[in-house]
Amino acid sequence: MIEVRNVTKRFGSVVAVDDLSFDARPGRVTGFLGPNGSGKSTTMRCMLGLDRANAGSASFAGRSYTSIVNPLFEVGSLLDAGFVHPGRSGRNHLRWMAMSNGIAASRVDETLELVGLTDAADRRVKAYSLGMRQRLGLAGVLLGDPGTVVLDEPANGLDPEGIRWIRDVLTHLARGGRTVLVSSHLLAEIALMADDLVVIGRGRLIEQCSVDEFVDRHSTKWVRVGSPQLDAIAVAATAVGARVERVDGQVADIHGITAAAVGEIAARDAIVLHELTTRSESLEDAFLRATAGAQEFASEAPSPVASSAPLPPPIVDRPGGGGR
Amino acid sequence: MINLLRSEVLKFRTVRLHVWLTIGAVGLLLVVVGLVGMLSSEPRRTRPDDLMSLIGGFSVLIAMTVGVLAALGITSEFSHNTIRPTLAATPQRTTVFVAKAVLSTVYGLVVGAVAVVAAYLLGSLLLSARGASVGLSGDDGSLAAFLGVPILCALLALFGYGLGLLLRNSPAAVSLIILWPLLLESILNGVLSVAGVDEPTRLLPYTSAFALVIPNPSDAPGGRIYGGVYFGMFALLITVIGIAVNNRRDA
Repeated sequence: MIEVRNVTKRFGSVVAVDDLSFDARPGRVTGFLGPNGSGKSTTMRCMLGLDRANAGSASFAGRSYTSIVNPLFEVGSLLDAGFVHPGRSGRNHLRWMAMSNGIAASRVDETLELVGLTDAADRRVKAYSLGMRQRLGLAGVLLGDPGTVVLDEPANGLDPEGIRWIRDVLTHLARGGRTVLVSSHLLAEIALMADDLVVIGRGRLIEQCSVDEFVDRHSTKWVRVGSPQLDAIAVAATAVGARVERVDGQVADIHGITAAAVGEIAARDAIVLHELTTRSESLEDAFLRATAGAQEFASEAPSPVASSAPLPPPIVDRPGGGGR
Repeated sequence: MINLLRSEVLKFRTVRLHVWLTIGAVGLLLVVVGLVGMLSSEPRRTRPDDLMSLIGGFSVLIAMTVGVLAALGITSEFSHNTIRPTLAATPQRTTVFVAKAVLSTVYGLVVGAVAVVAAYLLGSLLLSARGASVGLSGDDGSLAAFLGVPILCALLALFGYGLGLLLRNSPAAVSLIILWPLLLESILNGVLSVAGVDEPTRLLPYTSAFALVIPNPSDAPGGRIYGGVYFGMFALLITVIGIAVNNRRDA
């Protein structure tokens, strides 16, 4: 269990983290989400005692990180895969970590095998790809088989296969009862691996909830209907307060009504349907909507949400289809 | 603490730069001693303490190299951000920084001891073979200088580590280690002389420490022990300030 309470961190006049509180529970992957510059990494550094928080505290199973002797047995952390001396081999990087906490040398080889780096273990880290460095970083996290795992943007720069690998590892760790906190600035990425979300913007908590709740709360949904009798269904839907936007002669998007209600109307009025699907904005749109105004740096390019142009192809919610 | 020290030793020796610079520093002394031993024109007229004078004078460069390496050992932790996983693995900062200070000092002591023993053995072997008289004696100060080499290396390693910890910047720390005696203390010496301070060199910590490795430290008014203790206290002070500052700063 991770408990963060009222953490505040200032850099001069800039408040990077502002009275932030949240929890991460055992057995679940908690996604720590926020735009670039929102204070995720600073929060994690404060949690681990690497940055000195101006106020507040963080505890891991009831204890502050700096009070833990040999913390690799309790908390595994990876803040940046690049925090490795480039001239040292991957094996030696893990060896010094293991040695510092009294972890058996045999565990180094075990974790190297776990992350698939055995063959490259004696190569210097500067010859590693980004994906290999992430794997090495994760091997360091796993060295002490800790009950809590804290990862800062572990999928950053990884290819789809690498992202899937990270996702599978984190899910596996959480299913084993561990507390997993993983940060990202991409909701689509985090939504694939997280059960819960902590969303921050400008160092402040925006929301803590499950991924499903977050998407439900922040993404707009509508019903796409395809029918040769589109006029009839449009009239019936409008009559119950829905708003109809025609896409073409036989397809329309209906807002303010559920797919079930449209289906019942169609059945009642004997209207033929070719398509009836619930659609929603993309996860990124939901994220941008939630963090609107909380972006540290924003370009002048028009936001996809604010744009009057058609939205990018929406994600379709199908039964069992994994809409997120 | 033992685990931490073992871990720090592993970190230090698994960076090739550290290993090659150490070998280079010791090797250079051996080359100089070897050349002098082989090419000295009149070895029979060599005094017993001449070899130790040569080694002692040259060991200042080894000690400075050791200081630079100790500084690089800690500044590279900051430049490569490996200080973060280091402090994540051992969040008790004072323990980490003290362990690194101990390692740096012991490293300097060992390198200095290896260098002076190897150089003396090589020099005495070559010079003795050519009929020269070579020896270590307490009377002419050569034995004291022999023992002073590892101590100077140890103190400069501690000084370099302390500076590196305080500055967290490799170029700045390395420049300061080299320029401190050549520039800072020379200027300070001039200023103190003009100000009418009697024997100003005794107030210069770095310069005072050189008395450790000179058989006859006539230029060091405080003497050998004074120079070592004064510089040792100075190096320790820099290190303690470095630890205190880093305990407050973000990693």
